[in-house]
Amino acid sequence: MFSQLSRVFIFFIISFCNVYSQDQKPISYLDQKDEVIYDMKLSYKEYYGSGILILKKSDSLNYHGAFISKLGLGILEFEIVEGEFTWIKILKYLDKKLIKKVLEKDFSLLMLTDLDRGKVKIKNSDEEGVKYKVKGKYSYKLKVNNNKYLYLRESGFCVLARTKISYSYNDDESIVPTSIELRHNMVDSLMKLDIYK
Amino acid sequence: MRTIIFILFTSCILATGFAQQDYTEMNNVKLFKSELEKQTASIKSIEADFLQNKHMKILTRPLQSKGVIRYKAPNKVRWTYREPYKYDIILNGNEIIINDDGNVNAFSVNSSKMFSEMNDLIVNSVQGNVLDESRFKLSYFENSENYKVNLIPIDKEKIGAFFSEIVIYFNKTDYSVKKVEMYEPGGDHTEIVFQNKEFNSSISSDVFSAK
Repeated sequence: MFSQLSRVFIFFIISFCNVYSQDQKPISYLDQKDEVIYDMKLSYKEYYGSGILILKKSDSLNYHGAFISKLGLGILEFEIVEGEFTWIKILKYLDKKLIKKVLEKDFSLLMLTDLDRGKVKIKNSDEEGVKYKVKGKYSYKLKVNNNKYLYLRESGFCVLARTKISYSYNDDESIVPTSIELRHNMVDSLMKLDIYK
Repeated sequence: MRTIIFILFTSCILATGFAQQDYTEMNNVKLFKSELEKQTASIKSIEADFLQNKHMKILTRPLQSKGVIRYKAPNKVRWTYREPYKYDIILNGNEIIINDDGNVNAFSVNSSKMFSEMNDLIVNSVQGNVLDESRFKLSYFENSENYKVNLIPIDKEKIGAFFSEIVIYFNKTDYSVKKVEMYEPGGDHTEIVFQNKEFNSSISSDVFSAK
């Protein structure tokens, strides 16, 4: 009898958790706007560059992004269709396997594409917010408070130069971050995005 | 009957309006080239406002920026973007200086193929020396207000790697560059319109340093 009751109890707990995680699943900020444009500043060691980054959710599961120089020249453009990353354009000096691999991951994490297709579960919650565990093409933990992201930490085994993203907001209404900072563990680099006015 | 007359009349007015904008092949290319050469030879400096519109398939409306361009003969150019961001690019002979909202970077034009090509294009456009038949396939057009030259890069590895076509509009009255359109492979393009042009005013050489 006790054993049956405990099984029923566990079943309810699991069901409740599943329902709860489905209801609370965070969405990508790109769901809220036609396109999001950032002034992007990049630094790596002593190198520095900047440009305009355009991010867009082209439909319910697909994404589109482009980066242009401030002089107007297109530097790179990509699409993520059904989870598959495709380069539409990349200038020759960036067209290197390692650079492309890093950029593919960074842009996928920036756009939070795995929230659509990956498994999203609540890991824990505290007064700061709810921490979600996301497992898709990339694995990460995403802390969210009142639909606004606090930070993202890449997780998983054997991941070199894990990506860390922090978000900040000036606008109380929008879930689109005003600023985003993306760094990599053990790499002296920073990608800083400020909303384009 | 009255309806037919009205339609014909309206069509004629519309056709006249469009015809003013339509470009036809240039009548006298040789004269245009020599006049352009004559006019640009007398230019020692230019200062103008510019309005830049970036048209991209990904965007619902073009990205707009504006600022001031200053040129001093023979090869100094400073683009100053004032809105919506602060950004300066200075082409000072063999050196390129970028001031990105206080972050200053200087490097040799020759260290970057992209900047080298951009430098050539910008300086030659401002100087009016862009009609280089060894680098571009050129087509010449005109309407009542402007001359228009379409440039298709011949070398697909150099300037052709960045632009599939460049269109330059020259003002018929003073042969100054009125507008430049730069088309990228894939169809996105940048349009730059120059306004409030001042020629041969005194511009200090300090303008072309990182200060």
